[in-house]
Amino acid sequence: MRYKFTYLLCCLLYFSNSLFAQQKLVTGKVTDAKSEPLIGVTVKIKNGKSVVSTDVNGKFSIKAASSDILVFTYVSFTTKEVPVGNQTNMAVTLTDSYSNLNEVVVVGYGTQKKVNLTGSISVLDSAFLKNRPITNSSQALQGANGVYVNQTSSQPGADNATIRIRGLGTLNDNSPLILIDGIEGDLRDLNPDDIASISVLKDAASASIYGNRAANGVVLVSTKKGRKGDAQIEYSGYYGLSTATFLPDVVTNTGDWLNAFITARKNDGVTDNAAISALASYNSNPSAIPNTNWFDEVFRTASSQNHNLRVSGGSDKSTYTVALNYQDQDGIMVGSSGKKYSFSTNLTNKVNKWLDVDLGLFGTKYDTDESLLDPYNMMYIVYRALPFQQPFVTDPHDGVTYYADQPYKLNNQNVFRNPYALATEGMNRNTTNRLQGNLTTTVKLPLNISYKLTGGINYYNNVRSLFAPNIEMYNPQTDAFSLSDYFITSVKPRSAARNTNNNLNLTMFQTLNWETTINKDHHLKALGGYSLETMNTQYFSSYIDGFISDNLTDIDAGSTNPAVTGNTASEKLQSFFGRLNYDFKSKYLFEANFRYDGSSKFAPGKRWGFFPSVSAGWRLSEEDYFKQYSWLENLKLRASYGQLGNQRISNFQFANNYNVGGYSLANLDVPAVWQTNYADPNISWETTTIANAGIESSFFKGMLSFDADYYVKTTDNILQQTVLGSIVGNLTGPVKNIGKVQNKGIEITLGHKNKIGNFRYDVSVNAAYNQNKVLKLNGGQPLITGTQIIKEGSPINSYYILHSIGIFQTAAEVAASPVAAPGTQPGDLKYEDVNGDGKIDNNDRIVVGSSVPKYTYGINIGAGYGNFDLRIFAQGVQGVSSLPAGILDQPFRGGGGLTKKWVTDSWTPENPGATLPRLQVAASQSNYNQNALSTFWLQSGSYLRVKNVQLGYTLPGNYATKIGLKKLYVYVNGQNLFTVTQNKNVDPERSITSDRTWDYPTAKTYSVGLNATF
Amino acid sequence: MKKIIYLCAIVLFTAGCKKDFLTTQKNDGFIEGNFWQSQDHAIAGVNGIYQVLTDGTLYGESTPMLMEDLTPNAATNGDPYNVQTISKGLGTSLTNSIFDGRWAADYRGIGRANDLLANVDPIEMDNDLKARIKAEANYLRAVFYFDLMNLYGGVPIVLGQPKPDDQLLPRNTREEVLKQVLADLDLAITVLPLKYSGADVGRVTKGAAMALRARVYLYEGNWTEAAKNAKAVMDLNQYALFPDYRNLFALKNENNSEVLFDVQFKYDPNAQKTNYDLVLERYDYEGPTKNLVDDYYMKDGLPITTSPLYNAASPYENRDPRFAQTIAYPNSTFAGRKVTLTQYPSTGATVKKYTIYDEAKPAVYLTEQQSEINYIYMRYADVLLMYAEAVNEMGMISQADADLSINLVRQRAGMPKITVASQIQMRNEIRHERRIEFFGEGTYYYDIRRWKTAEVEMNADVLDLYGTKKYRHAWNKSRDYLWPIAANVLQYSPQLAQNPGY
Repeated sequence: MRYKFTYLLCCLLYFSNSLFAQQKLVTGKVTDAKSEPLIGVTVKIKNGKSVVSTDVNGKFSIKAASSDILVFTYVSFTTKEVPVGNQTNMAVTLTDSYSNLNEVVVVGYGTQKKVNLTGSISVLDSAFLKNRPITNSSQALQGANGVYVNQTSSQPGADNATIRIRGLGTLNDNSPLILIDGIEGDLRDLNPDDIASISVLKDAASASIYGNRAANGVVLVSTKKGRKGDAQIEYSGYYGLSTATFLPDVVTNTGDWLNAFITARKNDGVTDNAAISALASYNSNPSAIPNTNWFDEVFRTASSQNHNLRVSGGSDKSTYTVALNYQDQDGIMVGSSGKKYSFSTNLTNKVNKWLDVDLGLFGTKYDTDESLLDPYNMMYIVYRALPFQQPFVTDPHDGVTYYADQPYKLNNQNVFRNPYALATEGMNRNTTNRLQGNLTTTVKLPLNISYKLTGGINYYNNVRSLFAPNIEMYNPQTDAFSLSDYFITSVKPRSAARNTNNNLNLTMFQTLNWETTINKDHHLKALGGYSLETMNTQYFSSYIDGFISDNLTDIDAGSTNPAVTGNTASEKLQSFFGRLNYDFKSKYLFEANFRYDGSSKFAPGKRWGFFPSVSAGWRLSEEDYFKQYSWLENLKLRASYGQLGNQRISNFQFANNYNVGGYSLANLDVPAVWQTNYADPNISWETTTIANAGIESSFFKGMLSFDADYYVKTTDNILQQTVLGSIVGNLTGPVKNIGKVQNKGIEITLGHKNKIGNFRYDVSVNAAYNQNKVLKLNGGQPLITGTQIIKEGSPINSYYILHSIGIFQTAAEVAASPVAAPGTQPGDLKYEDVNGDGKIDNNDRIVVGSSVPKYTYGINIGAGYGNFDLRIFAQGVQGVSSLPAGILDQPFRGGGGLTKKWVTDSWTPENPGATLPRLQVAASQSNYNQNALSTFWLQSGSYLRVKNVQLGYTLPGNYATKIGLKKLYVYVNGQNLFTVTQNKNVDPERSITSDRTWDYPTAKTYSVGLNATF
Repeated sequence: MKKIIYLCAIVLFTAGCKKDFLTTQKNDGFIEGNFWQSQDHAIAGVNGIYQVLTDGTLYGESTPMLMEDLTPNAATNGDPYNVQTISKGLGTSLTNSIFDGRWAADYRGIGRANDLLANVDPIEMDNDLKARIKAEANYLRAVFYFDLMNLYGGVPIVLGQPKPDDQLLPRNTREEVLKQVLADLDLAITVLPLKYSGADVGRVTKGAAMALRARVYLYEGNWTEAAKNAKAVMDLNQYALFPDYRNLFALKNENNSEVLFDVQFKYDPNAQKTNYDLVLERYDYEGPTKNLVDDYYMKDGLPITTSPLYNAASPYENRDPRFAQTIAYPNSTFAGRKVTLTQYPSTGATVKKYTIYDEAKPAVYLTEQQSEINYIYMRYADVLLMYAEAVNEMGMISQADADLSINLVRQRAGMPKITVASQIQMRNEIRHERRIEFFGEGTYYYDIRRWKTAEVEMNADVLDLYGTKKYRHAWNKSRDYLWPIAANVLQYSPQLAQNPGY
């Protein structure tokens, strides 16, 4: 009671004090370190209402009391607080926040001053991350040095980018470990606006504290926390329009198409009467047959919008931030869309002197709608649609418009599925709910030891609801209706399915931290910890058909062939870890880490792996000798060496598995069980050893900076699925620890920033070179899968194909050369007889190209003038190849059409200089000369793409105040605006290891957005 | 207070250290050590061998029909499993496809049979049932080795539980494989029951194993043994021709009196099914050639060249009733509509056998592999025709023998009896009868190979119903009687000698 009274009294006193305090006019000028005036700096009275901003001369004037504190904030400068005291004219100098040497970065299980880092870590801070209209948090990583981020699809809900850190180390999953506030999570379900900073741990020294899954690097994402101070309300949002980046240039004229088809069939030795009569009927009345460009029909300009609302604040005891996000996105393909709703909360609370309790919680509901067919099959249907087919047609009898059947049936494509109908009809709704939370308790113990216990939960639930209606198609030629099928075995017209996943990951880790300073100069930190992780998955699916209408879509409304499947699995990890840091005067830095991990993926006795690392740094710029050079701001040398583990294989690979399937007897299903694999029971951890040496430097107060890293990353005992000859019961081969792969590389970042008058700019270029080589494999036995080979001495997943050496010009040339197949003719591809045995066969294949990029680079350019700012980000890769040889890459492949190039530039006796071989129907592999995969089809996957361009304007503080805002920023943004590539049929920024070209395309997006603080 | 926290910390640090934290349970399948433990496991294990028969390169999908494309009977439009390429004489080891897939499927079956035979003995279970299950495995292993032997010649014989070194085995001789096939069949025949009841219908019987032994001897040209085994099946009095040829292959008549052994299919979204419906009527991947269509007799039993019933203006009338029961030809009614002249661009007609479509009822289309009609691997008509052929090859067949074999088949079809005149006449009639009776069932490919008539019949143009050349078949007699060992197989087993000419 007494306390309360005192509190009340204090409040009153404070209130009266501010009411009656003497106000005076304070003027001043704000400049940067070079005494250049800063325009538009927000000047505000701390805990008060007055806000003004500086004019073109950097000058301001504000009414304030002597007891007030003025707060100066400015984009990319460190905020400064100045007590008014008895000053009436102030000179304030703001320092550029980029040169902040006290910057703290997030490292494994803690934080570290950036200057004291001894490992290789790329950091993206909030200044870099904010105000980018990205739809998926994984795209936020684009721009981090040494990180290759590839967005392969723009499909709502399926636009997660592929992230690769320092090349491909393993033959298994190469994705880094993603930790959101210490808990493994999925970036798709994290609101990009919630990200405060991202640290990418690239070398063993930084990552080995996460030993068990850190071999491909670790991405640490920290979410925004509350801040001490008044409640701040922030709104940000954008609206964007997207179109596909790349679509193939197909033949859309039916006459041209038929001519090419007839020629191709003739070249195959077939007279195609059906096509000849179709051409005659087309020529007699061209207007009766459509000339459809299916890509125009199925792709559209799609809009998206995104809204964020955040409230944060706090006191000395506790802080909070609460945010809501809504995202509504239409896909660029008709029938696809997504809606995302999410919330996030971060609370920190000092319970008493020795106890802190922090809570982080975020939840996302993501609903997407897409075609009934999965994107792979849906795109395949679009790619194989032909110009004489069309989406809609009107029945002349009743004037009603129906989905159109094809006017005639040709030999290569007997069943037409209307892509527009398949993209839009029926239901394929995916509802995902994710809840991720972590509760951390920190206890301060004596002797400067603190104990931390974190419990994390990541719950994922997803329900996919499918219903396939009857799709009726009308054929105006035959005046008949027919029912379309759905192309894939699992979907019958009038069937429904519900598939659910329930995944629950539980994480618990405890750490003990100790920190001390001995004799002022020796600074020592130690950390020890223990963690348990359990990942449980549960799957259930149900299917039924026999619906009697297209309106009832629930499982209960079906009647025949009910079927269910389901399974559960669990994976566990148990780990002990520790770290020791020592530095002397922040000059000599030393760090050691270890992690001891157990995994359920291996047989008892093979489960545990030990992963240690050491690193050291020397800050030369702290040495007395260098202190005389005032231009040298920072110079640090560092080196690290350590090991990491990888166990990303399926469960129970250490034993022979017997699958339960089915056969039927007497028209009843009976259980059938068979062995599926031959196992190696001795498999254990795959180990990655990384040696890293780096230099960090900055000069002239940060005007120039140069960082470089050299690394040798060797992955040994690689876990790999091997292949057995089919004589061995046609069993899947064992997963074995078979190989050793090395990635050697250099990463360089050059930065420069400057200010000339009101104009400021910064440029940063990062480039990474990575050389990948298989050092050892399976006792020298190469591993061949399809067209790719893993072979000692070559880059991982090189191509292994015939060597094409031109096009046969004459029959005499054919007769004089070894050929791959009888029946080879002029116009076919000519191959090199590599082993000189007079035959072209599998023994003539050569190792060529690589599916891992050699060079990746990024360019960041920023510029500002007054309140305007501009940011440009471009990225590129060089030295990577792909082998696209699917539908539309080859003429008439899989029942599809052909690109225009095949009409103008394929070989004929009249066109001997053509770059493409003679036309054939690639579906019929009647002639291997054309269809055997050879270097002819290999193409460079290199590209340079302007990923992001953003022009923004910050409203001067006084104008903002006038409309009731503390701050307002507006921008226009363009993504994927411009690309340089040799690829013609497909976006080059796609799955690097896939040769498939018919994926849901990526998008080019223009958006406008704003960010307002109240 | 602090003491409590220390205590908590210690407890938490040690709580998870239980030794079995890392041990997890596989709940969706067996791992070695917990399978082959009970009678139910043994039954499920033998079912797993049968399941291989449903593979798309063996008897699943519509592969028996695709095998007709390797004969003068049918022409294909696309190139499913590269059968058109192969029929043009252009198949090489690089063709892989069916050369690779069929080899793998056969060895998959052999591996499952070997695994069962190696592990079933210690199981405590009904001994008679155990013996039967082993006999089923023996029969099925014989089916797979017989298939390999026919297509590739001698292949490595593996009889133990699958192990990686097996891939380095050399090829055994054809004779050794033959011996193994017969040994397995002999074992099966002594143990297998004559028939099953209830839920076991569809398992292999003594009669089915005997009939396969007859087929093995027939393919070897061992006429005495072939005739003996075929006759033994006939004398079992277990089988009879199904009266209705058209509906012998219908879903509603599965497991009828004519079926000795069939591959059983049932609609289930996750299992392998067949797709004759799709591949024939809808995809029009293939159709009957003019050569085959012209070979159907008139209903008076005479060829179209000599029969007075033949009218070139309406060539499909008054034919062997099996013609209209097998082939949907122009202007006939199929799947509820009149077949137009351009409906089936492949050859102008399509095949009805094993499809779900009725003549009159409009078709309800299924997609890929949703059809569940069983494929009959051995039917009684084959036993009868094998008997007729073997006896005729031993010396001319008697009228009595013809009447209890080939003439029963013709009678069922609604065709007049054949009167025996000479051995050569009967050889031609029996061969013709096999071609017509079994069209669409994949039998003729093996017949023209063992008769060595392929080198003549398969060096000809392929014509559609109107006589337009589609493409040309080619058969190199020094090469094409055997398939190549596929490049994909040689990659892991380079020690295998390639067949001549490849």
